[in-house]
Amino acid sequence: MSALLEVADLRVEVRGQRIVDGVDLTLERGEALGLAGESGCGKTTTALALMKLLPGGLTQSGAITLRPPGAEEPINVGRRTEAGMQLVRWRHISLVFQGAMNSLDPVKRVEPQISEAIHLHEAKLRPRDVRERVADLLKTVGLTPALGSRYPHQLSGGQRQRVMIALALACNPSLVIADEPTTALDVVMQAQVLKLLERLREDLGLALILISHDLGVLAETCDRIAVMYAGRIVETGPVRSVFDDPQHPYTKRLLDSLPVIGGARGVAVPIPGAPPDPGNPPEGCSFRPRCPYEAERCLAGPELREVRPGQAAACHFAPWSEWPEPGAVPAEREALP
Amino acid sequence: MSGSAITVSAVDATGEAGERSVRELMLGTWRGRFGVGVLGLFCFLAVFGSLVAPDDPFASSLDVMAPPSAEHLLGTTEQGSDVFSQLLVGARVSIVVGFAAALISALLGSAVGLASGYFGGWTDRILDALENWFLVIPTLPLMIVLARLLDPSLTVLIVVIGLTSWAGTGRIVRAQVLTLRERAFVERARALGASDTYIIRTHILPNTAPLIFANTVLIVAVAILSEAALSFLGLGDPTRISWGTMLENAFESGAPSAEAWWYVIPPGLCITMLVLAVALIGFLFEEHINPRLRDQR
Amino acid sequence: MSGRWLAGKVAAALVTLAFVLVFNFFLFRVMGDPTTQLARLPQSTPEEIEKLRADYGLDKSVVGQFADYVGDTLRLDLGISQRTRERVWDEIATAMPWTLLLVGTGTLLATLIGSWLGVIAATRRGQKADDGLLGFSLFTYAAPEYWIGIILILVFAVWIPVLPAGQQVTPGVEFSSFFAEALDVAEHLILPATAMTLMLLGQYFLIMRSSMVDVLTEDFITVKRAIGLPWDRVVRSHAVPNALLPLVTLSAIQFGGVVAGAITIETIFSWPGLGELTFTAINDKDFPVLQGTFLIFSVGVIVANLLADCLYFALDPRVQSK
Repeated sequence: MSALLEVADLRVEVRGQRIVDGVDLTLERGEALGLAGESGCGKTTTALALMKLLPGGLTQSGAITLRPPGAEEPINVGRRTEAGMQLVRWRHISLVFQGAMNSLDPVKRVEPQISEAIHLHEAKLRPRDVRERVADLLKTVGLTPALGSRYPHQLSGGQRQRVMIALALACNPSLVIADEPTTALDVVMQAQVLKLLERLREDLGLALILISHDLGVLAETCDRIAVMYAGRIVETGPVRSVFDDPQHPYTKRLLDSLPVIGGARGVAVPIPGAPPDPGNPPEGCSFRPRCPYEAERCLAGPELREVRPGQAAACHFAPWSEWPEPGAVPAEREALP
Repeated sequence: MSGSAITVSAVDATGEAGERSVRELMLGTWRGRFGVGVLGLFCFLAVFGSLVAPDDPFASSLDVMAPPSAEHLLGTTEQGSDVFSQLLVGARVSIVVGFAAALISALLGSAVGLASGYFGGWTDRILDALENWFLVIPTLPLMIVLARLLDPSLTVLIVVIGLTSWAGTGRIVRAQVLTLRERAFVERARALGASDTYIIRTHILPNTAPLIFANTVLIVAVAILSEAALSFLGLGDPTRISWGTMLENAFESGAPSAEAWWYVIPPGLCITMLVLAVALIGFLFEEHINPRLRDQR
Repeated sequence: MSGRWLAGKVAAALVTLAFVLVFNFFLFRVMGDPTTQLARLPQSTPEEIEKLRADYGLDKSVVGQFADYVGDTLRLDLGISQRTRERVWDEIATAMPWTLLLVGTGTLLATLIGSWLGVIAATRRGQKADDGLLGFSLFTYAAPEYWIGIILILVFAVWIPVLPAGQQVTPGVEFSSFFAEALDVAEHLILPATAMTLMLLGQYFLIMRSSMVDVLTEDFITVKRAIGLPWDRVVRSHAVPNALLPLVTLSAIQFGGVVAGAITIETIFSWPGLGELTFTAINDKDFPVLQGTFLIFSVGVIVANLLADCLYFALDPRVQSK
């Protein structure tokens, strides 16, 4: 109804290859959605597409609607021109990039790079107020305001990541997309950044799309999770439900491949095979070649449908209450429509 | 301009260079076809120019600075010689000096770069300093001073150009050898007791040769321009005709004021075409062996 | 701490200069002992030759002579021109401002125009504008600059006689004011400076284009787009300043080429600079002058490199805090 973000049938293509193949997403205000999947499954491309930041050569299609609080009309991102997007970007939706190594202009100090964003969207503010805001932002992310007068190369990796978060908050957006915010950091830094994101969510009522290949990170911070495979969403649902009771073979295998502290001893089971080549996608279900339960039915694309309350999966044989031996799919399931 | 080669090649207009074989590149792209075609033509003229030329290029006549006619396709010089014949014969000097000087430069540069990169230590420090010196010092004045000390001839030109152009190759080879030296297969070979000569011969050289080759082709372009400049300034071989000396004679005899465009334009055009051809071929080689350049599309 | 990097560059420059002096000195000795030429003077007794040798300091050891040579050079005593009998240094000093004027104008224009075109080509990579500019720059690289100069004379001084064909001032004219004379010089500067600019344009263009292409692939450019900056501002405020850094270092490699161009272009246009001086000295086999200009050219290039290093130091904060 009045979801903050609604994405319908998002597709991204390059040179005829489908990188994002029909993604639907919904995000409520203040909600944290995790986007999980292997490298190359299209997570980052989806994030960039939401802000229409794809490099030239990639085409996107699909409906993206943003309903930020206080906006009179919903923003139809899909139909906005580049000039129109410049008004939306950062003001309503911002992004924390993967790998903060090179995300800041190396020849400019930190403070002007944050105030630059503020100036863009709130031109009427006095310079003094802008400076104050930057100092506040830095404090919010746990940095001393003095760091604003340094150059990016004078900050550590963790500090740079926090600066990127401060930058993302500069214009008070209602949605922040964080793309692998902890990947380049050590475990201690990782925990700090995640705690920071959580606190910001609570204090500011931010909605968050957290992208990561690390399921543990998503489990801690998110309310709901969407699992992506080969450009498609294969499962969504509340984080606890998906983790405790996965409804797609891919999700199950992903979870199985995680070592559990205190759990049974054994070798973590990787998923055999590799993700499909976008230039030559398999017929029907894109997970079919690697799925232990693949059958004749799977040649016709399974749709994402609700299989448990609040949980949806794109598998013909969902809902799964138990996980049989590979290859042994109960006969009666064959007859399911 | 005669001093330095373009170290940044960005002429991959269609991005096709990387995956194709050398033969495909040379014959399949318009750059390759132009390069090979023009170079082939001038090499042919270098060998057979004097046979193909309609007149004796040195023969003077009373028909001085005459515009093109049926008898003289490109008119005559200030001595009444046939410009067209001079043009055809002039190819030899450019080709011979260009390739010979580049060869010397390549040998010298490779030897220095190899020794410097492989042996390290004081050898490296001294040779590297020498190399940097040659890179900083303006080449043309250096060539002028050296060439003027001796009586001008083709050999002098070849030696002088070769001795002053090697530093670019040296630096590239040194960098490559330094990378290779640290690689596992070299360490393994050494652990097995292989001698330096063996390692250089079987591991270092094969991995460096393509780089040297591509770079040398570009040095040929530089050498051709250097020869033309030296000849233009009066340091060319007086017994031979080259495009540079043609421009020198044209200029000194007032061809521009005499509106003798037939004398002034063709030699420079030939130099430009030949250098273009060689440079295009050189860039194609460079892109072929260097994957990174390929992605500059 | 940051000054150390710069001090290192200055030290390296001085060492290079020292080697230039060594090179020049040995070149002089290769010419042979000048007293052998003195010996050909009629009525010279062995005692007189010995005295002359002592006067010239030629009876000292090699090291001694080298010390003398360095001393002389530092006192700007570069010998006497064989042709004009003037002091080499005086001839160089008169010619230098003209060369600086020509080279300065050419380099400035080439850098400005070349960089501007490089940015255009990089932001339109693969399109027709880019291909056209690449082709043009390749042509200016391959074409000899003196040939371009001759064609310029042919077109603009002979066929359509709007500009002078050579020299720096109109001969035989009295000028009413300094300003009038400066204007006349400027008019004479147009063609040679055009030749010089065309020669250098291609290289600066290629360097800037390549540098921009690299910068545009960096993450922070996407971030600048993401915060809502219009593309032209992203390019102007963030891409170009970062692209200038490699431009400064890479163009330093071209300084030798600038010198070469100065020599040939001044020759074509009878521009009274160091290049023209060199050309005359070549024809006269005037070695003291040739060595003098070689020295000055080398010093010029070394100083230019040092200036480029200083410029880089001023522009790149990462180097400043090393």
